Amino acid sequence: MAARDTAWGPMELNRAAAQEAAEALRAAGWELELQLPNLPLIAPEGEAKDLVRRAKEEDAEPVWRGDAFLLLGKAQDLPAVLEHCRDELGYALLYDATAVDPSVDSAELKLIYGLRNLQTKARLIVQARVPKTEAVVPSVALVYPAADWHEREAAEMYGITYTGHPDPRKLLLPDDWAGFPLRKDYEYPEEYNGISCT
Amino acid sequence: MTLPKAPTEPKPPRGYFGNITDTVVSTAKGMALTFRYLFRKKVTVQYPEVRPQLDERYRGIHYLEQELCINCDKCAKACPVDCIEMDATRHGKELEWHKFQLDYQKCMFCELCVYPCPKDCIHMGTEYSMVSEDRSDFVKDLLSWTGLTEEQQERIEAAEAAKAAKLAAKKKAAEEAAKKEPAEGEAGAEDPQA
Amino acid sequence: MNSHPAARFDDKPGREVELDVATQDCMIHMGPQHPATHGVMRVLLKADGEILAGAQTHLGYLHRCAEKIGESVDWLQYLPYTDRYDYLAAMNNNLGYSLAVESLLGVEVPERAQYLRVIVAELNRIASHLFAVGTYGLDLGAFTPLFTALRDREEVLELFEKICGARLTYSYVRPGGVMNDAPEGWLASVAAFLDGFEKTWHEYWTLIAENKIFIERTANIGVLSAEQALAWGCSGPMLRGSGIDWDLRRDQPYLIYDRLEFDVIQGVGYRGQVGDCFDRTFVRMFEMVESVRILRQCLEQIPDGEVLHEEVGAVIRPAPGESYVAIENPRGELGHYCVSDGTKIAVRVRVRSPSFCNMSVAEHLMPGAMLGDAAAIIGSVDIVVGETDR
Repeated sequence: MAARDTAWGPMELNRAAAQEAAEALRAAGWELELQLPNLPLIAPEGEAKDLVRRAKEEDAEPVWRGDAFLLLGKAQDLPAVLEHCRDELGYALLYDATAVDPSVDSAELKLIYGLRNLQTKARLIVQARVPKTEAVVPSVALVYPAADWHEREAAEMYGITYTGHPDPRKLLLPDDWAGFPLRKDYEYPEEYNGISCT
Repeated sequence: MTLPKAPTEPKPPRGYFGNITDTVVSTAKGMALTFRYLFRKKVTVQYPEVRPQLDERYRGIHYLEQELCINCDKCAKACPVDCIEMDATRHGKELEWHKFQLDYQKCMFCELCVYPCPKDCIHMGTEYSMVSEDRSDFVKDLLSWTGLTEEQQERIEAAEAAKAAKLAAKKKAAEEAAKKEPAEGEAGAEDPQA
Repeated sequence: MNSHPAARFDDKPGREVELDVATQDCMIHMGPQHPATHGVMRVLLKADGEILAGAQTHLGYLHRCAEKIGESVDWLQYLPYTDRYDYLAAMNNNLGYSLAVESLLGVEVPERAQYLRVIVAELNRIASHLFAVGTYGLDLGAFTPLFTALRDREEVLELFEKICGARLTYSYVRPGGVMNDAPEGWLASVAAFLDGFEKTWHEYWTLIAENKIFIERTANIGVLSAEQALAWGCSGPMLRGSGIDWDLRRDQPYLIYDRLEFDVIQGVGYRGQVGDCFDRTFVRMFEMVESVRILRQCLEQIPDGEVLHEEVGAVIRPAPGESYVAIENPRGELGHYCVSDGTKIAVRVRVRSPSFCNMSVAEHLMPGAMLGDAAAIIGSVDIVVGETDR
């Protein structure tokens, strides 16, 4: 049984796995950075409530909590990196592939891939960035078939084009839906095929 | 009867006659089980005639203790679907109520409006049946208030009693902790001397 | 069997037996309103005579923009929406979301709340598996198991009604703990339910798993190999049914699961091959047994104390950051990827729902199966469409 250090799972284990994977991938020649949160996993007593306010007051460097992840330098590397993770590092299962639009002002979308290693019980989050104006990345659906539907969902929600995807149809939205709903600058339609949306 | 452990081996396959026996026996077993239910007590309730016994925490249609309410809007802000609308004019200490509306077409009975109330004046009741042919009937004004029913009164009293008991327990625990602390402090003070 | 992702709907798989009669491909719509799809979902089947040549899943009929709503309401206000993706296991959804928010807040909830969470989550697992097994029987033509299963599920729902006042959409587990402490005598009534359930479990086993018709309909049907299950990112009974030893409760322990003793059930090919429809039902049946074990231990260990963390109020402002927290839902891994920028509204609430991933492989189990087995395969995945579409 893996060690549990927080009520939401063995975070130290995942963090250590991220560090290990970062070294292994760097050694294999990929450009990436390891992003580690700088806040403790569990907030000291009394801090949970007004942490943000205090962080602003002290005018310190940005703080963040949560998972450690690998940020790839180039989104084009994704299939090769994930294939390396699967074959060499033992991350046999892809549990999630999605995207995040950080804010309206942001020029980039973040792509997020989550991998699991069933032997070491660790998980690994790999991220990459693509510009919003030209969101084109190679698909990893041929490496991990699990990414198939996830990428279709991300494609219709964020307007990302996954090149080489075996089945690039829309999944959840109707085929004639215009716009990318999960982008922050999405404008709600007035009507859809004569049905009022307000 | 205790529950079995999950088998870790597959069941050995049966031969031709074994299969026939299994089919007959397993069907008969299932039939027998179903047949036995004929003589057991019924668990179903004839609904419209017999109303189910609802628990005291049941989250049904709200009711409001209008005299306590201070029109602070906290419940409306807490509501995820924005289904609460309230309006009142203040005359000194008195409030003149215009409306306290809940739109039950939107409401999802999550009880998030009940917790932030500083006066504990909005509650969820046991009334659940809401049938109408007209949509406007689902917008209910909680102000058409004619005093609490006996059941609602009981619910409030029970909740208050529970709260008081909890507070008392907390106070007691705090007192005990306070008693313990000086003792520990003394022990700690003694240690360096030793 | 088609497992390569590039092998698609239009590629006709090679057939082992060549028939004398020339047949023509026939397109059949299963759904959107089909009892065996367990919700509004459409599967387009391509049948070559009685044998399926391909299947294509069409989702989106129940898409309610849960992730978009997550970006427009407060952290706490999103809680009732989590009830609605897997409406048969809403406690687990609440739990997954609450843990994700807590991981950004950096608070661990009081111990009693952790035990209460495990108790309600496991009760909900029993209720959900009962419903899964019961409706699966119904899909295959057995009517009785559903009635008996719903009777026991009803008892669980009554327990939930007593503790939180709702029967389906609970909103009981919330960030910071649980809404209410258990009322007096509630834990005793959980124990009473378990006593009764231990007896009736044998009835389900007799009615479902030992029934010859059920075995014939499920054994060796829809075989999902271990490699396929891994490649398609399956989780829960789908993954374990294929003989992979993986359970988040044990392998990425959250709450107090590391203090509890339980087995991870795997498919063993009890009546056919490992990973067939029977094995998935088998896993569900014995997971209920393990849940009873877990509940018994929880009832023994549960301490007294607070149930809500003091620092978590009505308005939640987590620290900035990104966090993925996964829990073991009855259907598999339910993950929430929450991104916060330190304000009271989330930047992103990504829901990784188990049915979504499990369903993506189902269409690849179809080619080569008989038309009548389509219902058996979809039913064995145990999808909740609220969750595939969100």
